Amino acid sequence: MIDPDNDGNVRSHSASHRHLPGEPGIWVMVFSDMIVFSIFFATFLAHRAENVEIFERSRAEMERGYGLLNTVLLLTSSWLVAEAVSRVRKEISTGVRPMLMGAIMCGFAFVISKVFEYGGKIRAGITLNTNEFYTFYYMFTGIHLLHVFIGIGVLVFIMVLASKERCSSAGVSTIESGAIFWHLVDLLWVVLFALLYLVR
Amino acid sequence: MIIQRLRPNRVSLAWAILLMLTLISWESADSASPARLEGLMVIGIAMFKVRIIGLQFMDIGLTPRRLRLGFEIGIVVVSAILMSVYALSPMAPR
Repeated sequence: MIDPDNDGNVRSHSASHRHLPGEPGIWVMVFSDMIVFSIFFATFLAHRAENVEIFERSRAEMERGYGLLNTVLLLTSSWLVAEAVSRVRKEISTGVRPMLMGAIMCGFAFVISKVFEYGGKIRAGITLNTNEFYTFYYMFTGIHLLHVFIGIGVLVFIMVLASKERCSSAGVSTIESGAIFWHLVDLLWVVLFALLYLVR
Repeated sequence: MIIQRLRPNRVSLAWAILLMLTLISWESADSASPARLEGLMVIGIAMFKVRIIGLQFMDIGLTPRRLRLGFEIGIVVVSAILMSVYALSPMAPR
């Protein structure tokens, strides 16, 4: 028997207690995205292997503080979303809206941080065409930023949905789907942070 | 009952572990240890963090076994590919 949420509600490991959170379609989307990004990551490292000196010199110029801040913001936002979803499942409305609002604020803070980071680089003359590392950097973080924008929109939508007094099972499934997408955004950044800022 | 309430729930525990792993990776980036070893460690930690996010935040750990198995196998395969490509690449001159 397990109590995965440490809330006194125990569950067995049996198949009858396993369920697919969210809509099946979100999982198809999430795993497809993971596969695509995995190819991106491998491609980045393969190109790095052909041009190690330039890649390492550029990586060393990266402001790791931005990377750390962005990682902490997204991990914290994911935590808040996961806690909110846990409460929605238990039909506890207290705290759900503030948690989702907190996650949205973390998302906005990430975007603002990225604006400052991009701005600093552009002012220093570092653009998409500076070298291969920065082409990858702007492309990958740009695509990820697009995911962040979409994710923020999704979080706003599920916050509105969760604010209703009674959430239907379909509503819970939609909220879970939105949360899963946001966790994907966080998960992808975790690897981007490692490859672009840390791996030397 | 009191002890149970004092224990962090699994989601909060996962978040704390993720932050700790993030700091470990961040600190290792410019340390004096061999770069190759650190690079492999950083990639390994990143993929382990992916696993924690998947299992604890996305709740893949509570999904039907096939989905979880697919996720775990995927992490192992991607980790192996990334680490192999990195390990076979030349080192940058200091």
